[in-house]
Amino acid sequence: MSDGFVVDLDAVTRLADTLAEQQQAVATSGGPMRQRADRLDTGDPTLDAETRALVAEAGNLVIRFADAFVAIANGLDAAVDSYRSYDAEAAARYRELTNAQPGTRVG
Amino acid sequence: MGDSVPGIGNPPSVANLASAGQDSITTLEKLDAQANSDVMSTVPDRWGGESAGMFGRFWGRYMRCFGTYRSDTATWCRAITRAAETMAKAKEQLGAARQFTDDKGLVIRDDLVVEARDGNRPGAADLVAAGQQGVDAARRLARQSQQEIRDANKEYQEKVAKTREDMVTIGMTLFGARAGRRGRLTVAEKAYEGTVRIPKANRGEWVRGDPNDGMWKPNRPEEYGLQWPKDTITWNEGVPNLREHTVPPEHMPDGRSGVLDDLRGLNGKYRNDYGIADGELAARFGWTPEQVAAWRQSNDYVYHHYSNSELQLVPGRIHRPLAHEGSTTDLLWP
Repeated sequence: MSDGFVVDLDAVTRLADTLAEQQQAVATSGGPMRQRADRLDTGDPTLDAETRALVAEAGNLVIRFADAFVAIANGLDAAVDSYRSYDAEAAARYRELTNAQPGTRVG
Repeated sequence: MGDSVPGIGNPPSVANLASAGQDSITTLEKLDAQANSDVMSTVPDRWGGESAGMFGRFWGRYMRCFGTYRSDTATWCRAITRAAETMAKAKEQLGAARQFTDDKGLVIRDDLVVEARDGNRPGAADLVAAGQQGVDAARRLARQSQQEIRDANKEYQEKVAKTREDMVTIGMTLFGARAGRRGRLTVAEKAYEGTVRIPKANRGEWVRGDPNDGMWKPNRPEEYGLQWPKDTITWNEGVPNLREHTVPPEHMPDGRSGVLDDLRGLNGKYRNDYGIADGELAARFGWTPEQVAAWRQSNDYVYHHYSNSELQLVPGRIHRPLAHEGSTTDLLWP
């Protein structure tokens, strides 16, 4: 195809599925770190609390990365939907043309 | 005495934190490599053109951001490991000092001050001074370890803040985009289930009452998937009541209401509650729960938790914007 334009909708959907499936694994990857932070003892309670807060913040960042996986997957789904709907729309127009001119073959 | 010494700390607890952090990084690296491999095997050979090109560039930016986070976290973990080693030396030093004090008839108080068991003993003052010197050396090492952690935290905090800013920009791009027909749930949306959310003051106005019993109208109804005349949301007891926005009977395969009440076993957990609701609809429709789930997803319908016994089947376009406001999700996307 020209301009490198090619789309395998099933492949894009599979990619979306894969990314969405990875969400949970990414989101939970910081769990053990939080648990260890809860048992942290540096000898300075203030430093312990500060470190726990930092680990929690980093954990929330990881959840953002995980959410982004899903949002990217949703975007890919939307792209697939668009391709399909434009294709259906184009088909409908050809169908109208075909019906309007009996005996005319398209394609 | 246990592992923990007041003022000195527990070295394994510090080392274990660094180790867990490194494990997390290793896991993320594997997931990253897998995801990247999947993207590269699809774009551009099986998805080309301008949109794929834009996606490829966006993906590269996201991966760089993800990689930076991992690299920053790994750096922090290494610094924390070094701090744990310093703390272990402090503990060793304290052990040697304790041995000395035991041998010399001295005692180390909980506040790490050395004193003689018998203050009248000849030479006691010199022994106490020598013992205190050993304890102080341990305390200096412990403080050095704590400072190493503080320094590492400060540097990591700044890097996390920077990555967080980058992610906000990326998030605005991502979450502003239209969701596909599947309407997959993010972690934030899953966390949202069963929580109470109050819209922020700048997002709309209470045309009647308050969240306990009132009606809220967003400034931009379209952003909440709402259209006139149903461009308001009723609230009862601090929870949005989406009954008037449920999937209409004419769109339900059995022609009945999209409100599922008298449900038992709801616990606010996504998997559990969706399973119960899909099962309920499956019984109504004469389908399997899997068929109901597929039907929901293909139409972008989701369940809204209204009470501990009622779920309301609503379009995701209405539910999702609400899910990103207030309580639990604010922790994730402030």
